Amino acid sequence: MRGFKPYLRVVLFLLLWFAISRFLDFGLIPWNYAESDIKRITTATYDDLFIGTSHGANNISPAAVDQETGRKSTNICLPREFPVDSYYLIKLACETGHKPDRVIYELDPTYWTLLEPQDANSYYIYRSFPLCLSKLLYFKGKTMHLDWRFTLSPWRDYTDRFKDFFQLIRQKTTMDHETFQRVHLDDKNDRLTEDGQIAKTITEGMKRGGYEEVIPFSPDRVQAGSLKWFLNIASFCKKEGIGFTVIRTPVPKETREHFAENYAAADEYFTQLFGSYGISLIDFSKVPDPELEKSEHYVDADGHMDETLAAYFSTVLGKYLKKQ
Amino acid sequence: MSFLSAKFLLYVAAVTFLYYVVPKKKQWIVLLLASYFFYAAAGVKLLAFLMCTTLSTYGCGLLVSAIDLKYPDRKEKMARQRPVILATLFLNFGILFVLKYMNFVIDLVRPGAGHVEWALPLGISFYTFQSVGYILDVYWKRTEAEKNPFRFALFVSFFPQLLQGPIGRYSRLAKQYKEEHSFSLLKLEHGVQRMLWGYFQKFVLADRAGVVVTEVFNHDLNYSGITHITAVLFYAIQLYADFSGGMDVVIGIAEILGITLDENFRQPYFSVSITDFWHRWHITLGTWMKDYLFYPMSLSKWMSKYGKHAKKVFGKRTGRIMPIALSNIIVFLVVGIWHGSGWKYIVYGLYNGGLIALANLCTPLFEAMFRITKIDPKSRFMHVVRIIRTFILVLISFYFDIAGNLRIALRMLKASVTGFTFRTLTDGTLLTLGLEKKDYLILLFGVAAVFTMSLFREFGHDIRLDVDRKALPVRWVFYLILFFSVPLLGMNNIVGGGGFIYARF
Repeated sequence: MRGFKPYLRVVLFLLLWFAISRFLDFGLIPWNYAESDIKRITTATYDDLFIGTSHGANNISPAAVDQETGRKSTNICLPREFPVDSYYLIKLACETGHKPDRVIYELDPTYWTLLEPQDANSYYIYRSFPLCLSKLLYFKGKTMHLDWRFTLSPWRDYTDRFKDFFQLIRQKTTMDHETFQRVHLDDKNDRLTEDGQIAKTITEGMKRGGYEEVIPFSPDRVQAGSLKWFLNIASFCKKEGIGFTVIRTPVPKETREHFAENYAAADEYFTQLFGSYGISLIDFSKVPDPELEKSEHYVDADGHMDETLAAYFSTVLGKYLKKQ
Repeated sequence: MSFLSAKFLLYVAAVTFLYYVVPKKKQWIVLLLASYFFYAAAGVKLLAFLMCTTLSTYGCGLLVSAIDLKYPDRKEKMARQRPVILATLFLNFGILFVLKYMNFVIDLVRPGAGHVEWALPLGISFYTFQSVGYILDVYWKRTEAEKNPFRFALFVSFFPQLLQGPIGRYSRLAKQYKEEHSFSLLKLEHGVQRMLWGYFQKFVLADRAGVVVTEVFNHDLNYSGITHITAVLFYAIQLYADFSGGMDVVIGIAEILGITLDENFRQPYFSVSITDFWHRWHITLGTWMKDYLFYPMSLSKWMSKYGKHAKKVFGKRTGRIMPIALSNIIVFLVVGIWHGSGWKYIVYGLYNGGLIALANLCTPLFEAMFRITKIDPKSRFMHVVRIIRTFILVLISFYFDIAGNLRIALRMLKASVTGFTFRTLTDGTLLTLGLEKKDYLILLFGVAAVFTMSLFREFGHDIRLDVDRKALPVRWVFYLILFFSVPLLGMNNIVGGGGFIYARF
């Protein structure tokens, strides 16, 4: 028993450290849209699952798509969702018994060329996962390769929120995710809909992003990791008998003209790549539609739409998806 | 596998667990497998280089030892041993040279001819030097040749030290790998303590200071001389915190496994001369150079001839120092080249070697000056003056180490003395270099913490012992502060970077 005591002390110390860390997590890290998305894909029923980036999150309205397709879809596209994150989100949906009939992957070529920065945003989707096998695999596939400070102390990137520490604890203990999201995440410009669209509203005086915010695509900058995880998604869908379609959302005409060379390079690269794997790509940035080319309903040059244009685009998308 | 990733910590935990649960006689096998797995994780193909060095130096050691036993005649023995050693040195330094310096040679011979693109095996400079040290030790009978190739492979590849040293000696490491190690909580506590201190230095100081260094040294023309001086000061913080921090992590892991590695730092910024600095900075490289290059060269026949010639030309006193001065210049030229390919590294080495040679040659002059001015060179005041002087000389050398090339280094050095205005320090320029006010405060706090620790050590305090003697609750608070200050005060890593500087060697 005496020999056991020092080990007990180590365990107690680790428990103390763990308790303080989780307390800091609870008081510093606000809930985000990922919690609502994950809750939806693990509880609701749906036929089509949209995955992808902020473009998909803003531009795809599942309700509008469903009106055309007659199916039920949900959108779990999220800002800073890299192919690796998308892969584990699909796995999570399947693990929890909500396997979709079809996955529609929204392709943002920019994400394929970015080496993911290591900050709190690299972890927020992982953190929102419930404790399950997919989370363990997600840890193995992504999280454990990143800086250990985020894994052990996710609160570290939120230390500027110390002043709201007890307020956040109060909010988290009195609200569920959806209420928290409505009260604290939705604002006059962004609103998460019930089916997962982050609907944008252009308000007076709102700063719109220009060309400087667009990261032009270049095939020589494609990260091996992005390609690997995208192919993992495709093969996982094939193995599970899930339909797989890739779409690219439109951009204002001016952006396409301004970055004509980069768009041409992306067209060539992805057409060739997807062709070699037999994956279909619907590139709406090439679809000639005067409504989709006008820049006034885009919140930035990068192609994020407001709610009105997103609804229109989703109708067009729905028509294409219905044909498939 | 980055030392900064969660995967690495899990790996260390798993290896430690396995290491202590297997029968003690098999512990070294766990370490060998863990080391090779660690290396293979960076690229299986690169294992070929590690294995080539391992096999060639292992074979050379056996052969040299066998010749030693077989031939009693010294001359015959040497005549047979030397070709074996030379061939092994040629092979191993040849691999290092081709992989690390080929592009530099291409630039020299055919400028603009394009570069050869190949991956540099992890830690190649470290394991090559460590292995070469072993064969010379066998040749000089400082150690016996290892008969078990797998044990020898562990000596070359021990995973914590593989990437950034310290460059170990076979005589000290081999017996530790053979020994049986029992798990001890104190070892674990000390190891974790050391690792945390290493991570603190890396994340809180090195990564933060590195932001200013990168900005100023990449855009030097945008900044005035005083900003250049600030940047090189920050580089002194970054390099020390990064390398010394990395060493603490390495030595801490080894400590958990019951292996004591050589120390690589001893408060280098308290050095009173450049010679002293190199006795305190990257100590294992310095002692390697001293034992395997400086002494053999100083005691060689041709250096002895040169000494005699120098005595004739410069007189007895200076002539006696000349061979040592020349050896120092050559040794530091090699140290410079070891740091990387490019003229700036050659100048970096020559600058250090030149200063040491000059100091040797000018010793009589300095002694005379002290006599005439009646200044006591051993006084506390002079000690501080010498520390400051040495630090300034070290800072000058850092321009060559960190600048993109020699031209930029010289341009920045010139600007540092000709084009600066103190106003830059107060007009907000510092806040445009990538750090905010709070970052400077954290940096100041971190530097104060490291300085205080160094000061205690310099005066012979054993801080670890002090911590051990504290009551358990005090120790817990100390560890909790350390555990939380690393994530709380640490800087976020830059995209695609953030590794230890010396892990690129």
